Amino acid sequence: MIIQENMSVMEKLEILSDAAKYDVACTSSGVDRKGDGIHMGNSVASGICHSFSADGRCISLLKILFTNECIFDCKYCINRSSNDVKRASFTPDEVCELTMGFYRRNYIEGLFLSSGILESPNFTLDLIYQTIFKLRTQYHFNGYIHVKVIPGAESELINKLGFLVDRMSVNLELPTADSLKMLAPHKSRKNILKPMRQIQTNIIHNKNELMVYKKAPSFVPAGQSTQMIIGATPESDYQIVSVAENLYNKFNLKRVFYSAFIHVNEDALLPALPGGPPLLREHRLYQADWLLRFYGFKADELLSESRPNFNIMLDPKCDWALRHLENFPVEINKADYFTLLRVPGIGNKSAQRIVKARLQAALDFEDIKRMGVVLKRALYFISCKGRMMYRTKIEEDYITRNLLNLKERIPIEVSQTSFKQMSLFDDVRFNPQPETLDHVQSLYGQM
Amino acid sequence: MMNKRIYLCEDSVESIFTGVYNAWEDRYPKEFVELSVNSYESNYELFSEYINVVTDFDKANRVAKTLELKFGNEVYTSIYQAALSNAKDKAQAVFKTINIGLKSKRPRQLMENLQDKHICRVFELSRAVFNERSHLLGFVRFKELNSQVLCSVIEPKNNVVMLIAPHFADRLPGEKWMIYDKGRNIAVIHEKGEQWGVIKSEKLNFEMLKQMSDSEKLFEAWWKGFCESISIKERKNIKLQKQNLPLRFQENMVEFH
Repeated sequence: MIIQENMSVMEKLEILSDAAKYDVACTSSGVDRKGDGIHMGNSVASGICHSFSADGRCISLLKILFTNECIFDCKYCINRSSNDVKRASFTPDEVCELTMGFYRRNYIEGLFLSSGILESPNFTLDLIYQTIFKLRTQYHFNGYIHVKVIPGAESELINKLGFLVDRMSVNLELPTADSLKMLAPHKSRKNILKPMRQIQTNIIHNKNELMVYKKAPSFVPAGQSTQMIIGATPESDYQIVSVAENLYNKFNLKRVFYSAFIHVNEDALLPALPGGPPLLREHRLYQADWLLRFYGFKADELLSESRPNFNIMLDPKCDWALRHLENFPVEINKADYFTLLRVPGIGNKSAQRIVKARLQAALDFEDIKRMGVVLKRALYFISCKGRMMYRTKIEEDYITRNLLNLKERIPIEVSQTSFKQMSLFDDVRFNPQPETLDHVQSLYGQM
Repeated sequence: MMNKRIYLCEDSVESIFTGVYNAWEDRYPKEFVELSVNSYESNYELFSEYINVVTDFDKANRVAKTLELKFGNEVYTSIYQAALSNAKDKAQAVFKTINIGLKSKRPRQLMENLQDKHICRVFELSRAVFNERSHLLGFVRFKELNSQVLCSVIEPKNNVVMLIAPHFADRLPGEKWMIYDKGRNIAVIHEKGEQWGVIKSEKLNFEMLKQMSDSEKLFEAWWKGFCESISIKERKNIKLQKQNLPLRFQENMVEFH
């Protein structure tokens, strides 16, 4: 391992942002904090995206590692100790000056600081703490800060750090304990869940305190998140979604992030993935994640032991609806909010608008289209004033074929690689090319 | 059959509100009244009567007060934002929506009546304006000048400088900064520890705006390097990047130069 002295800030920034790029969470959301009228910085609950990199991902925070030196040897990680990569470390002042300078020019919403493990987890987290302490108290930075917690660090240190930052996250790394054992020999599931539980307990405790003393300092006000790598180990979508559901329910996480496995190291234990990272799968998991958090779905409704993976061709909501056609069509003017939420093509905003607008007058297809309902998807599942939009059959194969005819069936997030990947999955149930006869029928149906 | 009467407003919220006031005052039957923003109108209709609206801040204020009082802040904000839009039909949509609201039994829930096409239009315009504002909160780029002033140039479709200024005044209270809307020739300026204000940009010294501070180049280079190295090449997706960050914004963002 070569540690280079006298490296320029530019070089360090390139190495340490390159090393941090595999961390997914770049959100700056979850906390509204007004400026103090003197020092620089505030925070907006919805979060702000400042730029988008060439991979289409949002740049919101200055995402860097404090150091990419690491004593751990996780198989999937570019910074593992057995890799021969250029190593660099920032000083606390360099991190502070970069953050202040970038923030002042409105390049970023704040800082995301993670690190490789230097000497020990505790030593590393203490370095992070020193840096953040300096940024908050000497540089008076009042913007957003997200730090990675290093599992194995002392709880007292996590406690102190929590009062300086907005969000904390502990990486789950891999969906199951077995996978973790295999690919990250220095980490253990127990060590990861412990700080997660501690942060959760502290947040609850702090909220109670804030109710009594409004001016008490707040602990991790934007909550905690985590991330796991998808496709490096053999878990099914069902397992992954169930893990996420548990994290939301039992650890009160704000977000679970999924990161399509990217092959950076040659290792016999890692899959080859000739089609590139499993982006479509990652996309489906995010869609399902949304359904869990905002649409009242449960993991068991979306998948099961006998059907453990998502449909490649259809999003999880359409897929669910097609398997529950007995619930449809839903009458727009009568169905309650939660029933509307389950209709493909209706999101939570359009459902809210429908519920409010129909108090004034009965709604028709034209009206709900203006409200943001995606009719070409919804039309098979809804009626307005007792009528469906066209004479459509409520029949799984028929609707499936029509939905697959829609141009947008491959989301742009994955459109550049997905075709290659599809052959890797063997559970494609549908032939995407409709037969000529059906095509004519569907045209007829729309007249 | 009566002739249509068209009030020609200037492209500003104050002028549109003045037009609303004049139309009420004249008591011409409302179904034959139309409001239009004159800079867009090139084809004059036969048999229509055209009236130029002279912006009157007092009248505009009275309309604004009435709207806020009767409709509440939320509806008022929607109407105000719609009036900042760049759409040709905004004055008419605003006028019609206000008239419906004044007759409504639930004026504070006015914007929920999305089945009405005028209200829906105001809703759409206001949403578009708000979205552009939200984009710019992130996409504004300040350059540090020799004089320590932070200077940003934007070219928004809608007239949003006033909507983004409060955010930056809260965020950078101790800085001198300005945001210049190149297309409309107006700028928001902020002095250290003071309120922000809007000025016509004829008053700006454009030569001074070109003189960057020494550290500016360094930070720009660091930022460009960061944007480059943070991207994962195995996931490269320029189409998605463009969808999230349209080219018209990229023009004024340092990392794309």
